[in-house]
Amino acid sequence: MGVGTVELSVAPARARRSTGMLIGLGVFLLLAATQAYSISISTPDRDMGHLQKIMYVHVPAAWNMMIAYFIVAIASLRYLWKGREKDDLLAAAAAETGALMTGLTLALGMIWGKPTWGIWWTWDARLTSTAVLFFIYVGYLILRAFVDDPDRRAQWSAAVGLLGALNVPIVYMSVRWWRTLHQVQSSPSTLDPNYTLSLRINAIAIMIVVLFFIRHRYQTMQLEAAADAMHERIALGDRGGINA
Amino acid sequence: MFGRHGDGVDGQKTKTRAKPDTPVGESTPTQGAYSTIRLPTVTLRIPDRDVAAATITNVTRRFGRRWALRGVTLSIGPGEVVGVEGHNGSGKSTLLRILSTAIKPTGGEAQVFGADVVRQPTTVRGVVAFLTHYPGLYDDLTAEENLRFACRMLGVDFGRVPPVLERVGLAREAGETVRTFSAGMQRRLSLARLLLQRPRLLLLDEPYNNFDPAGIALVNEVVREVRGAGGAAMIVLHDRHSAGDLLDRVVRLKQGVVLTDGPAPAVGDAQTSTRLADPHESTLIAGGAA
Amino acid sequence: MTWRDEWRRVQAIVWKDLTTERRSKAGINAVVFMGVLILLLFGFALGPDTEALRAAAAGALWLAILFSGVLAFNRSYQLELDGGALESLLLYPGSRWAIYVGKLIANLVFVLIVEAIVIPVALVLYQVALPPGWPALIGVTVLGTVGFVTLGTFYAAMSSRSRAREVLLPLLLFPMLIPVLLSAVEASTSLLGGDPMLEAGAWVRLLGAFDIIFLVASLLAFEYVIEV
Repeated sequence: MGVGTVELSVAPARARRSTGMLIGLGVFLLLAATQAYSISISTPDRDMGHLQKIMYVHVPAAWNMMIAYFIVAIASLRYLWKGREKDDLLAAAAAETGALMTGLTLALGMIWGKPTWGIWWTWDARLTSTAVLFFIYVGYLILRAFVDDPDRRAQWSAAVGLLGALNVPIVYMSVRWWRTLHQVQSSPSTLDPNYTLSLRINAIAIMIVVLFFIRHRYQTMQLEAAADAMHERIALGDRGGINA
Repeated sequence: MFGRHGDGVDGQKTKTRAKPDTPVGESTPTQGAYSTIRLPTVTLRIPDRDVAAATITNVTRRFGRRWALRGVTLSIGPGEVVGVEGHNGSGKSTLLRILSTAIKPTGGEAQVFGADVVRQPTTVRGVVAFLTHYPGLYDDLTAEENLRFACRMLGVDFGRVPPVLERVGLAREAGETVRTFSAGMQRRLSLARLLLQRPRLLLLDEPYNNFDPAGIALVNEVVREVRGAGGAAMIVLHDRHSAGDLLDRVVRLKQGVVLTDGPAPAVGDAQTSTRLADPHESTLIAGGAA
Repeated sequence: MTWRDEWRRVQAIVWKDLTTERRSKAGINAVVFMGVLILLLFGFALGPDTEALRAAAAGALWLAILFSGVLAFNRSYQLELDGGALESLLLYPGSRWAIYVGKLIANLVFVLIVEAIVIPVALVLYQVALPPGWPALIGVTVLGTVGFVTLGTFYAAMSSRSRAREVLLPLLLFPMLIPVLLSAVEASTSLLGGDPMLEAGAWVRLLGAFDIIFLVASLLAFEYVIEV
């Protein structure tokens, strides 16, 4: 009695890969288009020249970071409620993408800040809150990295992700109050109508990028889980013993 | 019936024992199998007499990438004492932990007196007592304090503590901290804690290891008591000798599967213990003529 | 199980944790000295200028409490892990949240005792005079400590059982505590400066809301975290 044939339920991987690449290409072309459009229609800002155009990535990244964390919260809640592995994988994928977006927001904010204010960092309310958020979700990812048992990892991450999400509004609120007490440079204003339109279309484009990233990571994690399942079947299939 | 490795270990005559009603591998219905007893602080659901003490069906359990149990099916009837043998890493402790509800199986099902370990863990905890092979005590508390803590967690009266300490022979050390105890004394205290409840299924993980003869006799006495009251026991052990004639059946595990499951050979036969020479060896050496 | 049963279990766990801590002797002394040491280090780092020290006093104090307090949380689970008592603890009948609340109360007592020593030392080292409204200061401290211990007890249930536990607990806990840190420091600073309650009140309300939200959330999530 050998291993027998193990059915591959992760079927046409190659077909998936090429459609995935096409979609990815399309998504990034879309982003490039919106960026190009925004840059072309906007006039150089009086004070900052072309630097303002960083906002077309920075602000959408910030908005989309929230979307990613929202997905983490919902997926974590669903995992605790129903215990299905795919909710855990979705939460992990969204957390990774969210952390990426948060890092991007921070980096771009700092890059914008240096020429504008002359310093790399300022304890501005939004920037500071974003930094705290970054640490909350990097902590989530590090926790996942340190736990090997899949059940334990999923339950712990779900609990940590939920509590982290719960803290997001509290962090924003407390940091804002903190900053109103101690006056400091404020974030860029967003008033010019051309500017608002550009922000919106870029926000949508980046949201599509974010959803693409999440979906891609989610699928990768599902493939890994399927590989684990195959490993399981092999480990169990050749058991021997009287219950075989 | 036996594995393809062709062991003929039970070639000798076996003692006849009363066999359980439930055949191996069959699960018993959970409906209507319980009667209810209300006590001052807790309500117990006592399973009826003919429900199998434990039913394990194709249970698997993994830790990360390692599969500790790879599909185990067996059952324990009421009044049965089953010995579990196997090398370290064969899954013996994991099996006990699943039956005690300490951990959940990755796959498969297990019931204790009809109650599912995953869906009705509280019911199972009410009838099971688990003697782990590590003491599970608080080093900085005294023997008496450890037991009193257990009483408060169990919801039973402190009055149970002195007789139980007396029984395990720790009455004089009641006020000493566990840190000063030897391993044997700690095991006695764990046994005492077990006696605070009235368990119907005893799960003992290597209770005889490093235990003096008096302690071993004590363990066996407790098992006999539980069996006499209609309960059952599953004992993980390396050396059948200490169990004497207590065992009704012996199950041997290897790498997470049941290798053999059959009646225990009578004590006093030529074969005392069958040693597996190498954990990864694929043939068993039959006793006697080794 | 009834509330009375659960409360009895909570009490049993509080008693067990505190008695063990008291007998082990090493614990609270080490944590207190750690707190004082951190205060000293901050003193050196911020410089001998009195005004600078006074301005930074509340901040330095809270950081000292946070850094020394985390030592307590892993310890509270350590006593369950050393002899393998956690598995037995989980096999008693009853709810998981009783275990959480028991440990929470024990940790709270522990940290409050540490603070009772560290705070006066801070006032002395940083040459801060006790303001007339100092009972309010105690209230703020207690509220902040409750938030700290609530989340600390929760996260330590995980960190104490994983690799790199010393780094994982601060990593998970401290970002979550930033609202508590902000509120406690701002409220303490304004109270120490004798400011009217107008400013401190908002912070106190935030602290209170934070405490309630995270107490409830941790209570609900604890069973998922301790069982697996």
